[in-house]
Amino acid sequence: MASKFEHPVLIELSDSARAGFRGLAAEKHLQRLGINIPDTPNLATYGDELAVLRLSPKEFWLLQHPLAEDSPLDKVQDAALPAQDVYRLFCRDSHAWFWLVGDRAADVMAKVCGVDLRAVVFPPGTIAQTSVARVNAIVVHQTLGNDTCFNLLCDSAAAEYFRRCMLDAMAEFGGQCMEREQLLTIVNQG
Amino acid sequence: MMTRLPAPAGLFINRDKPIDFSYEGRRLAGFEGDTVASALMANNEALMSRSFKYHRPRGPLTMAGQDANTLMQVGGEPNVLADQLPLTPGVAVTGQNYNGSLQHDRSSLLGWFGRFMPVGFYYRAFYKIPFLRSFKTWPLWEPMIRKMAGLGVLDLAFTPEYYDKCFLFHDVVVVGAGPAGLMAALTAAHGGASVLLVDEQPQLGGSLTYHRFDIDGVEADKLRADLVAQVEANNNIQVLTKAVCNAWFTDNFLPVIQGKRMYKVRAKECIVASGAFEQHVVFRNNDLPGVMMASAASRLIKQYGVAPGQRAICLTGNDDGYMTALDLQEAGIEVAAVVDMRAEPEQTDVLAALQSRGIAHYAGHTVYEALPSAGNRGIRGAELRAITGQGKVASQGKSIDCVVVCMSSGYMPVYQLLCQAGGQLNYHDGSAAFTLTNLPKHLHIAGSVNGRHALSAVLADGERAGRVALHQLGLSEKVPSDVFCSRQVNFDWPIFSHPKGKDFVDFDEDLQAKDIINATRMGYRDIQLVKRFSTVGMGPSQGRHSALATARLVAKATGRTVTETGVTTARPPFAPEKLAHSAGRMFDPYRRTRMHQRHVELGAQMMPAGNWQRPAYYGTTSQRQACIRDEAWHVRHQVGVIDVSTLGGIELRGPDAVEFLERMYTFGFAKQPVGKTRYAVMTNEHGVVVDDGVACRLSDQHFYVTATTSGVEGVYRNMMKWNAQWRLNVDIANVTSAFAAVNVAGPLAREVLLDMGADIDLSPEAFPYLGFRECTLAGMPARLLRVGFVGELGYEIHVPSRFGEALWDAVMGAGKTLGIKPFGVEAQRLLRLEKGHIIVGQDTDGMSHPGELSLTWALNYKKPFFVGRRSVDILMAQPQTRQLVGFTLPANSLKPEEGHLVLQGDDISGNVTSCEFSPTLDAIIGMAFVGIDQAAVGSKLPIRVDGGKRIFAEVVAMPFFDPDNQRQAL
Repeated sequence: MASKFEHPVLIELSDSARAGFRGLAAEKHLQRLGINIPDTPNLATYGDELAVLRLSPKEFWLLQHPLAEDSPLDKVQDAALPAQDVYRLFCRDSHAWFWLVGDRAADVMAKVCGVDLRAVVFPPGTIAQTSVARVNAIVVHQTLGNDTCFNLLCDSAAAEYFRRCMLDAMAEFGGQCMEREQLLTIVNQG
Repeated sequence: MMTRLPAPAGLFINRDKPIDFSYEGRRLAGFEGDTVASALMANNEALMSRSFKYHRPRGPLTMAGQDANTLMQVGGEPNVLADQLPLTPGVAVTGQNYNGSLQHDRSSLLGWFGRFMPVGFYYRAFYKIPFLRSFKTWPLWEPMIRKMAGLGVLDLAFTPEYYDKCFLFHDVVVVGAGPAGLMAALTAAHGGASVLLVDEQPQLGGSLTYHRFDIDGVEADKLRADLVAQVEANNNIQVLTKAVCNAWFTDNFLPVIQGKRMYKVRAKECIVASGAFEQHVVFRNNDLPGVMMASAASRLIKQYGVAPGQRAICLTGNDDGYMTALDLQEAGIEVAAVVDMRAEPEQTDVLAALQSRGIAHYAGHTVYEALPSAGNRGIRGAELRAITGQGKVASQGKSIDCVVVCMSSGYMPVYQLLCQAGGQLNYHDGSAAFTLTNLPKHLHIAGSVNGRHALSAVLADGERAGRVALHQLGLSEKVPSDVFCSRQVNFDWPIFSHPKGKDFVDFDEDLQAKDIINATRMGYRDIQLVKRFSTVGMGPSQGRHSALATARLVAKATGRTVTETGVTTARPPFAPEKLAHSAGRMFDPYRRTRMHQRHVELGAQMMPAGNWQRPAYYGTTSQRQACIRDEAWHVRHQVGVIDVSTLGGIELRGPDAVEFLERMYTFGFAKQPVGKTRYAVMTNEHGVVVDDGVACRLSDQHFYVTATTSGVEGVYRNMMKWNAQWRLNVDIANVTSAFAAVNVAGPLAREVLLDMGADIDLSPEAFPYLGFRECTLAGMPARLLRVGFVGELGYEIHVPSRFGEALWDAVMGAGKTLGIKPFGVEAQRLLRLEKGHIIVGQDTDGMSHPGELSLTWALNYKKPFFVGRRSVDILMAQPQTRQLVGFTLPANSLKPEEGHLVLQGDDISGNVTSCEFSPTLDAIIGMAFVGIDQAAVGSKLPIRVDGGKRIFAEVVAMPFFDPDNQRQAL
């Protein structure tokens, strides 16, 4: 099927729900809550409602799909933590969150990131914890329909800088920013 | 009048698209696809530059951007290679490096005084007079030389343009798209590898675009069309034309420059099929316009449809010169003779081809001298001599009329990238051939750079390299065997010195054969020293044509072989590279707090603090001092608010959190009550104070520790490093960006918080100084710290950063009736100075230990360990040499600046670290490191201020303001 995005688009999702957990017991805690955990670090599972990022043997981030109709993260957030060895992280506030969508996403990223993010070596479900435009960032490859979608998570204080850099990198490919509502409209089009 | 050869000559040009341009103010015309140099040649403009030293006329030498003869001024940009620069409509081109005009350069008279400017002349003549060594003459010479040298004119009003960088990732990169490169790329791509093919030319094919490989002259075109079609149809191959691979770095990291972009290529396998540089013959006047490489003549004809002249001689040391002669004649140019330095050609059919076309042939001969036309602006003929020995010729010769001499003494591999990779260039004295050895595992070579010159061998070698790459990638099990090639292309001694000189080895630097020999006679036997003394190979073409001739001359002069002599080192970049390419699109990250927009709206003047942008003060720059004083006054008398979101924040959680804190900081934390804050000083292994902050205890196993704005990254890194060794059960999280924070400070601060609706008791009894509380404030989850950094009743409010702007609005709203005003970093610095609070990094340096800073009260000696403890003990046990003290000066005194020196007699005993005028105290106050003997209260400190003046400050006890700390404890 054809791409729904003729040009790459950048959507800021920083106000979307996300949570992080770390600690020796974090994996078991999340499994008890019915979360499907990737087996090894730097892998992600994702579905229509939630993406689960395993950033290390004992660190997990949960990203609620910005187009999800429900709030699957609520039950995770509301669940009490074990007394020991699980700590909430502050990724909702510490990190800005963007989506870069479109067939040329890897080409855009090649202008700001030294990691090979072509699908052939960086398939959907993989994570790179790297530097993007000299800012620490987490890059997660997932798909949005038939399109490539990179989750980009970076220092929230550098969000404005990061957005400018991405726009600059996208300009060559006719890329632009998009609001979540526009994205929803495009995604829902048959 | 433009003269062009009919098609099919002119592969690169589009005759349907004429282009007008100007040269030296004259209107000329060319075609799309032309370079500036080819268009000039089409307009019979062979004189393109003047040489560096003697200002001799120069014309195209290689037509491939590999020499300095076509350096020109293009608009505001000097030193542009005209044989590389695509012709564009309206481009204005002029020559450079002349005195008068390009045609009539007055400085060309220097050539007559060449004998007085021998090699090393600059070093010896312009610096010291031998018998008066103390008298330096360079200052006298410099202005004169600078005026004469003038290589073009810089446009100082230049507006920077957009250049950028981009990574490219491939399994295989092939550098050079000649026959070997094309074959290598196709082989690798067919085997399943993703391939990047890079070439300098606008079209693929390399030598297939200009070189004649067979007598009939049909093979190259056919082969090129076939290979290029295959490449274009292959989805596994990405092609970059007009692109230069400018270096080789470890693990096949290659900068490839195309236009205004530098691609940073990463490839698992690299195949260099860069070809070979044709080499010139050294004879008198071998530099004049009309004397060019044989390949340059072929390029002019085949690529641009331009005849290099009407009557030519081909001087050669291989069979390729015969092919050039056939090219010339086929293009309608009269070939006066083929002069072969060898006794006979390698292939007999080339000689037969000449004879059948009636072209005269002189075997065992050379051109001994090109005969100059008027003003040396071209040639009118050549004098041939029989070769009688190595570099020797008969005493009599024969003159032949011609306007072009095409020369080829052989080829030198384009070895620069390979040399950068650690490759060893070897020369075989018997065959005058090169080999390259010692290459890294994933770097391969193919084609003429690998010493394969016959077309069939070149193609086979390209295929072999492609297969080797596939094997290394695990895509093929076969390990191909080497390709054999017996063709010899290099004549072993193409150097024929002339007693009158002007037999150039290095065109860039105007170095003649005798210059190189004289360098060896002065004791410079090593090739690297010859280079540095004579400057051979140091010009724009970087020894592409001079390196081999120099090695031969040095070898002979020093009684060694060329192999023993070696060639000079080739370093990056391969071709001239603009600084803009290296810089690219600059990434300079900045960070903003969530309240940034509010600061801008309030007229804040922003300043950098690390990579953060912070308000320095609020108001106009012309009112700077007044704004700062007003802000400080307001904090002292009413209430102010400052954004302190940039303050570092680290969460420590877990059973070992307190133990970890005890080890990382100097103070004791084991008995710190929950709900209390404690000052935390961090020292490094050397006992030097590297950061400070406040540790807040949220629970038995949970601390929130602040750190300095610019120090938090280092603190966090330190913590992670140490705990990697200690393995304590503690979770360490850098939450700097996760929290937004303000400090509400001033006598009315509590009223502001009360108005915000805190759900805790804010009374001094319930929430005293140095207390810590978690609460809900204005509907936001908040952490409150009772702090006293500026010496007033103060609350730091930390909230999740998503609430940052709302927090600011809530504080400003609640404080409106109380007259709250924002204050910036500058006012905060003044206020904390009045309280004698240090700023780590400003009032400390790389040697400051706690004793010098009067921080011994923050050391806990009852605990067994903290990082730096042993060093602190050792340092404190030594006799102390300096101390940080406070000083004052009258308000009307000269104000010392940070960094001004504190003196003790004639010696320097310290420096000022902070200094401000305090309106509260109506005095200048400051801190300074001083000699230990000067530290007593009441001492007079001599401080050297601007202009060398000394002023005397008085040492006083700190804090300067509110010594009993009553105001912050309200």
